[in-house]
Amino acid sequence: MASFAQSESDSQLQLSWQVGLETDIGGGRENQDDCFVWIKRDDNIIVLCVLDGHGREVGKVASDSAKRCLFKHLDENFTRLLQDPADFLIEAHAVAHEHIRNSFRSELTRQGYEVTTTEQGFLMKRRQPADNWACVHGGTSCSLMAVVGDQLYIANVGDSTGILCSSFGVLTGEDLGYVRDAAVPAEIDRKATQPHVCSGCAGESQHGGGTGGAQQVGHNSTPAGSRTASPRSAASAAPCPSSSGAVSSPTANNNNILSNNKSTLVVTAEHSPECPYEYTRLLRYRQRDGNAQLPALVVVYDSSSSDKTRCSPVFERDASGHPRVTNKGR
Amino acid sequence: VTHLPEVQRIDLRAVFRRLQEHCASLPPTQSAGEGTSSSASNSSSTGGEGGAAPAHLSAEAVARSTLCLVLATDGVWDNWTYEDVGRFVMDASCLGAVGAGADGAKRVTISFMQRNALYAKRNFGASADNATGIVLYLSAAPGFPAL
Repeated sequence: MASFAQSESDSQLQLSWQVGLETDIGGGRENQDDCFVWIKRDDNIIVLCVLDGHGREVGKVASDSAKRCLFKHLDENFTRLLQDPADFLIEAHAVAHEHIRNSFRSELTRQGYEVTTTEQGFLMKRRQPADNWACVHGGTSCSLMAVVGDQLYIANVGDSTGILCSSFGVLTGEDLGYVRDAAVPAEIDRKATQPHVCSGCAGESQHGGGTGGAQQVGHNSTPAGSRTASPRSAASAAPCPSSSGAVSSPTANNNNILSNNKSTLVVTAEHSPECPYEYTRLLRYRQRDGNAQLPALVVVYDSSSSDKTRCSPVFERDASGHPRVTNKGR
Repeated sequence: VTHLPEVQRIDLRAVFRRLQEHCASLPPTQSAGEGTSSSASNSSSTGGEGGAAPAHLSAEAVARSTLCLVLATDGVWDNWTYEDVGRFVMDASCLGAVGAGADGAKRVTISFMQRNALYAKRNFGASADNATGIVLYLSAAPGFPAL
């Protein structure tokens, strides 16, 4: 009775589930987090999603519009989730991204702004024709986990993290398999090597422990403006040995954080702005005009300045070319 | 690029197989070999469908057949280590609730987020961040009380 799929090695393992979800405003004035669970029982699909909106004016709009959009996208296209889960999840992010941008545009227009989109796709706003254009600041993290039959697919942007837990030490780093990175052009996306285990990088930045002090802000998917790491970010990300900065060597996932007792495994990819892995990912995606050694998109510590090109960059390259966190502008 | 995700995959079947192999070497639970378990009413749920009979599993039986996924925003992770979250959701009291009824995960999630709110207040006071968590228990046991 308690044997599962022992004899029938080709058939799908039948899983049943229980799920709960809660969101809490914390000490804030507005809850910009959102989440949902989408279930299609007949096809053995359950999809979890958490969204961490940010941006004073548009954070709530971002997470709320993404949630509605993703739920509808699932309703209408879930058969494609069955056929090609990775492709579906990447497309879902693209659809949500576009929908967020449109929602920002209508919300800001409603508030009386004139809104425009730059060639690079950044959203700008101004009150009066005489005013300077200002970048719209905001966006949301988006972490999707889809259980499709007996396979789990994870796709995320931003830092909303997911873990897999067991009562026993049966998990390994190899459980987490790289499928695709939408930021890596297909022609250089060689099949992933062995997942790289990095102890110094994400563990530090992703959990503050029970002792407090550590807080990480910012760095989500943002359809608008520059990407900023908050000056309050507490992470001291150690250089990740896999992050060589070589444009031609996509690694698999940056780091599989597995607890010592092998009972918890981080399953989301780390895309925090202070992880060197993300720097190399940006570099791989698009290089700066005139300097292929530098990424086109610069990650900076945010400041009140409207010109984000003057903010301190999060990364510098050390003598051997490895990205290193500057810690400036905190 | 910030909106372009990275997709990863876990073969849950392989993980469940390893869990099963691992637990095969453990001393049997009270209800060894049965999907149903614990005290009074066993043999209530056989045949693997859950059916009309109220399913019921002991915490130990849930531990041996269940994995848990926790997905949360940084308003949660800023207060916990990954291992502590794992310990919380796999604690015998939580697994007992999960084994006792289909609303177990909901109760665990409420309790988990209440604990998080407590930590957040202690760690960050009035500037505690928004916090969101989803807890999903996945089970391969036929008698698992699913929704």
